Amino acid sequence: MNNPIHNIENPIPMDNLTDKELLTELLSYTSCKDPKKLSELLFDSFTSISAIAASDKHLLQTIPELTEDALIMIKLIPVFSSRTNTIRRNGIKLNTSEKAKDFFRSVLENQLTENFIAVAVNDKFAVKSVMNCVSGTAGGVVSSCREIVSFALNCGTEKLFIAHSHTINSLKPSAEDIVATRSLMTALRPLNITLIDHIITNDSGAVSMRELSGIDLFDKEPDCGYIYEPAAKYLQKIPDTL
Amino acid sequence: MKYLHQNHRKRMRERFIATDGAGFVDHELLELLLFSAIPRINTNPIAHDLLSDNGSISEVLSADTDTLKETKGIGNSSARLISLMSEACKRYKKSSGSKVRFSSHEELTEYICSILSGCTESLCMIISLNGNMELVHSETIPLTDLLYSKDSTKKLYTIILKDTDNRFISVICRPERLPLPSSGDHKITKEICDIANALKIEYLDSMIFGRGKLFSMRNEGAFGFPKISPNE
Repeated sequence: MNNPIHNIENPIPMDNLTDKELLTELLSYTSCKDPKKLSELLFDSFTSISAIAASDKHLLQTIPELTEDALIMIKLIPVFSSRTNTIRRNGIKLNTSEKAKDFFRSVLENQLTENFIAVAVNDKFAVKSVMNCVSGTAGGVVSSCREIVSFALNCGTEKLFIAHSHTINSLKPSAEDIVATRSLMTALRPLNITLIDHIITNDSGAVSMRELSGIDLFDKEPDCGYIYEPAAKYLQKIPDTL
Repeated sequence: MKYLHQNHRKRMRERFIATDGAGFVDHELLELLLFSAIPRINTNPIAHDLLSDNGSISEVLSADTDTLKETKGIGNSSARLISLMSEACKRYKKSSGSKVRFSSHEELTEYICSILSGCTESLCMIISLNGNMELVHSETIPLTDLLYSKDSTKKLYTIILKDTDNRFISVICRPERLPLPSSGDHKITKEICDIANALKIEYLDSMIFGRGKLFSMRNEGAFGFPKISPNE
């Protein structure tokens, strides 16, 4: 931190900072020589924090006053934003598959790439904690297995949901989705953590992998009181289009 | 050890810039953020501790500074930085919902001039707009890549294909020259036009920016673009 603009002992409350001041203080942690001037320059060109943070990095890199670590600080904003959520957690219970489908549809809507999310719930299925995983394909579930297990352990939960969004029209779980889910279940079982459901969403709806027959994935996994449409009602194979 | 650690930070920064953060797991993002507040100590264990003490990255960013300082290695300065980033994310999300909308060609050209005013390099920018003339996405490619790289067509396809339901304009930026179309500009415009026709995406305009001024091929009725009516 080369340009301490703020007074660490008496920091300005966040609500009292204008967007420009907020960006200036963030940039004061970087090596740029004049964070205030740079902040003004950026706002003159792009007018808002979202426009600055979302702007193409090649364009930002052409600004001489913008150092490499200042570029990183700016580009960290949209990345952190995509990993955090403002989901209202209080009072949301995922004790039925319908509620789970509605919840994850609202969380994962309008995704341009496949996004993956893990949610820890308590004994009453109330949402405790949410983790956004690295976006990508469902194969990311496998690579995120350690992160998910770590997240579940950190939360002290015994019940977990996972969900991911499809960018294609079909809600049908792919072979990769099934393998990845099975791998996660295997990893969680010795820790007495139950994977309650894996929800797949897209723009047109959501499906619960626990409800889909023909997969034989959740048949040995306890439901812990989770209410879903019994598999016996759906004796047909997974439809090709959903 | 200091040298190795410096190299680690350098590699991590380069990886972040090259990938726009894709592939970074949560603790790596926190580690990278903390580089700016903790210049000499390895921030990797601190990042891990922040996540294990708070539960998730969401909870790290929503924690107050006193809670953050309970994690070993987090002092006033780093706690403040995390809070600043959290606030920036909230404001980013809030203002991301309201798109920039252009009511006229003039507003669009003013916007382009403002964002390119500080540009010092030659590049081509593709700006994607939706049916309401709202800004959806913009991406740049260095002009040298476009003119001389074997992959230039593939790169253009990739950029234009990102928003296939929308329409787009191209802006060739040459900061030090007057915005007069050159044979190179025509070549680039034709290539983009061919791609737009192949993908059946509406190509609204090809512009050239230089020395603070903008030339619109559509405005001049050039290159087959329909000339703008006075009421537009």
